[in-house]
Amino acid sequence: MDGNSRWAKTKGLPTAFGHEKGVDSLLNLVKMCVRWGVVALTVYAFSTENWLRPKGEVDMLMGLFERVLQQNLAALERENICLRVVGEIHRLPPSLQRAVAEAHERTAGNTALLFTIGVSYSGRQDLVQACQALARKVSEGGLDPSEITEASISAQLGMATENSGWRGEPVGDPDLLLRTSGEQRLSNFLLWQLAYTELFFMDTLWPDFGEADFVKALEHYSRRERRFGGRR
Amino acid sequence: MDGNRRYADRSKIDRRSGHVSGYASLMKTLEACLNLGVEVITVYAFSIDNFKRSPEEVSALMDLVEEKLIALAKETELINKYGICVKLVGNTSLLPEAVQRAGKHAEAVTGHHSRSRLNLALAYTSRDEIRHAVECVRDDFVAGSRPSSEVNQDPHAQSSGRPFQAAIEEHLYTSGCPPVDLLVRTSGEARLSNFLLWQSSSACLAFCQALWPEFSFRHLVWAVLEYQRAKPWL
Repeated sequence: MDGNSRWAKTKGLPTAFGHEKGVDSLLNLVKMCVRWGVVALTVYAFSTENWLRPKGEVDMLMGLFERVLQQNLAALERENICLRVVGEIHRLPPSLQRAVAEAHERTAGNTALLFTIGVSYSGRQDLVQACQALARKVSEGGLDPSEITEASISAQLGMATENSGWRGEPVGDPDLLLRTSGEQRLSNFLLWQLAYTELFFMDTLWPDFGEADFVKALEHYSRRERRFGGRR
Repeated sequence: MDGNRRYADRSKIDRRSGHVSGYASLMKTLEACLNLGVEVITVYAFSIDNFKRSPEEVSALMDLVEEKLIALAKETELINKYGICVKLVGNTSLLPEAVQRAGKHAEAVTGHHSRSRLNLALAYTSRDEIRHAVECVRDDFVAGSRPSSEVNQDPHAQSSGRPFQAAIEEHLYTSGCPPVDLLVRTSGEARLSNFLLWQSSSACLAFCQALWPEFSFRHLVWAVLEYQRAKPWL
């Protein structure tokens, strides 16, 4: 969801306007996913690196997240969407932590779309904590060393769906990753889960992202041939 | 290094010749990178997933890999010119004995060099690499060579020491190498295919339409320009 600040700059507006418009793009994307039958959507709202931004912008973003959660929770419930926030929740302001907990509780068990928002999230940190948790279980005797496998690492990630409120069809690793604003990097998003994901980069700035861009991404994906290392 | 087989089909040559062309492309690209001052090059020669291919194809590829590892070890002029240290990265115990021997030989004759590094990913996947690193870290705890308090330390700690993360990084096959700056994939596929997931977190990703045997200096320049475009402050 890259490009909010750049979008605001091109319009001669403060950054906050870019983020507000970015929220509109996101809510629109959620609707499109439900309409097009996408089962899981994961977005990168705030990385651990973003804490380094100016305090004013960080505070504004935290306030924006809380407001957006509160204003849209009822609609998400109605649409049968399961919402979860993944990341270092303990670093968020207490009121936002409470809003997140409420959203988890009220949307648990929904089955139309698993909507995951990465907030204070780092793909690498998620992987480190998963590996550490497994190593600790082995040290404590609760897990046999042979049980440190790719599958057990996957299941231990914060992003894993096993311990979430999702009760819809099984969700595996992402099929498609989309990054806007022309940046061709992963920037510490997911990483482990992207082993076989199709990557699609577009120049559109996030606040300008609309149905045409969404369809373009789906069309690009439908043309890919996924071999997972084998042969046709 | 994607596209050897498609290149063979397109050029109406057999697949082995396609892979031989791929090796020639590797040597050309390697020298071009070293000339540009690139110090670490990691290439994806054979994924653990590739073992899913037919036994005939796997066997033919393994024979070729053995042949080319032996040839690489004899590239004395290139190796000495750039001080290249060759390392096999991957679950090399999955490779045939003959390939392992050829690999160890290439590592032995280049092991004293340190100016540049060529990592050959063979029997490699990133997830297997990370799993293996976790096993090694656990073994360190059991052997007492790491304090057991590290396994209980808060993984989200903001202090400059993140011992468990550092421990994993020490045991990755690419340990000692810097993070990846630029990742290039040829033949138009836009996927990582389980390659360097951990190490490529901030890398500039460049997806090139050319098939690997067609990859040339101008494609390399294009990739470097992509990298520079992404980092204008350099």
